[in-house]
Amino acid sequence: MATLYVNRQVVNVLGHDAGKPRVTRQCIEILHLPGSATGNVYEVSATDNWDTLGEDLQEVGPVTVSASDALTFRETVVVRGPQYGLAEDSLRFSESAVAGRPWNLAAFDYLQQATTTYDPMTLEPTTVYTGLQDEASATKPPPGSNAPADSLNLTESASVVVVHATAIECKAADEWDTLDDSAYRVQANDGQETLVFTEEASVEVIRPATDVIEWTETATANVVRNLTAEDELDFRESVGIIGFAADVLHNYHPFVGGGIGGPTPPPATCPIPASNESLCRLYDLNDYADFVQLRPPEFGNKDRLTMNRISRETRGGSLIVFADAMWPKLQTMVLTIKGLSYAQVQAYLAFVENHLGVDVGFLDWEGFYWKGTIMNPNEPTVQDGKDSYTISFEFEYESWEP
Amino acid sequence: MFTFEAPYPAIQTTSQLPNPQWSDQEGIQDTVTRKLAMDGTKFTYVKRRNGRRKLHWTFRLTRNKVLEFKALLVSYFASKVRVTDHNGRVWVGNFTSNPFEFEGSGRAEPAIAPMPRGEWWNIEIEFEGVEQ
Repeated sequence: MATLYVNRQVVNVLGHDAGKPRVTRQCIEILHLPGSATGNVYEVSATDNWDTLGEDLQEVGPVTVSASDALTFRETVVVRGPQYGLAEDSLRFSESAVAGRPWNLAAFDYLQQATTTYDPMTLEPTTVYTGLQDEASATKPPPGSNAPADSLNLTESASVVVVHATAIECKAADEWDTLDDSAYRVQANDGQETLVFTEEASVEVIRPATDVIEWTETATANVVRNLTAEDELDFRESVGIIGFAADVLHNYHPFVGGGIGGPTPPPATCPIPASNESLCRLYDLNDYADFVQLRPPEFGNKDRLTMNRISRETRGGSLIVFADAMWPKLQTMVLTIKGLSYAQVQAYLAFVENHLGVDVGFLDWEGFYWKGTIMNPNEPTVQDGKDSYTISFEFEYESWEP
Repeated sequence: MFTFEAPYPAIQTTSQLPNPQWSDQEGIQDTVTRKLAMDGTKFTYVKRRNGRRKLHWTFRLTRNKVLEFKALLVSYFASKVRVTDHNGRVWVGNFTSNPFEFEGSGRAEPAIAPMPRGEWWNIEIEFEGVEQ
């Protein structure tokens, strides 16, 4: 029977101590192997029977499996520029306090004249002071009361921001060369002045960007305009035929041709009388029953055509005549009617009196109807003979269809 | 025979009238003003009318022709008119009568339709124009 010692050590490294591990706990377990040995033992087989070891396995709970994994990320930065930003700040302060201590001095000035007089009784000299006496006094402040007190608090901070390797190199430097803070105290009163400086210098990642965008635009347009021009040129050719028939000279027979732009040409046909009555009649336009029947007028009747137009003569002597189409055109009949009876004359006078200034209708001796106004109602009637009267009036008219 | 054509030069209407009555007139329009200085020197100022002349005609027309001529005057009383007179002379000018006065003068048979009566009328026309 051989006895094999198996040492098992559990080494817990709790810390570094001169580079040597410290064994804090040691366990030696002796494993007894039953068997016999013959000859050389070339092979040692070991059977581990935990039962033999008398180790009880007790299930104390669910097996807890834990796994840990440390995932390490490493970032490699290829430095092509400054690895770090540099912020430098030198703040130098120099402070001095000057105490302006007023030394109050007292001065005495005697502006006097001393005269020695003798007492006539004792003959002892007596000094008599005559004159002015001036005195100036000053109070010296108590010692220590005028010590200047000045507190200068300065706070300076410099912060460095890591600049990315690919960033543009930038550097900020701020240096306060000299700061002088002087506190003057000219009075004995307690005073305190606090001057607080706070300075901060920081470097920020600044990436200035400059971008110039230049636009060049060329627009080429081919304008196609579908313009149409239209001009109507009216050519007209006329052939003048001069007829020598008697009808042309006596009948209503104007030759009216084409053409545009001029005045309205006269009608091509003769106006046709609307009535075939041979007597004249003055009537009320609103009441046809109110009328006066008259004989046809005597020859010598007139038909006036009054136009408004402007006639001017140029400097060279040419005559220029102009008229607008809308300017009024007046037509007036001057009629004289004879052989009327007394009753007709009185009826005429009554009719004229009742229609002063208003339009009345007139049916002339040819059968045309007109509408107009009697312009001379004050024209007297004349008795030419026995029961024979004559009237005369002017009738300003326009064409009218009853 | 008289011919009135209007408006000139774009003539649109032509009316023909018989020859005028006697006593037609034609006169120049130029004027002369005389000024006499204190020493007896005479100064004359002439105002010419560019050859324009005043013509005066009296027509004796039938009633139908009066209506035609009246319609012509209503249309072209302010337009230039070309006139071919009874002597064949051609004038271009304007009517200057105002008012135009037609006068019924007497009976004239036969009546021409559609007028119910046969009449003749007189009209006097003043015309100022330049002979072409």
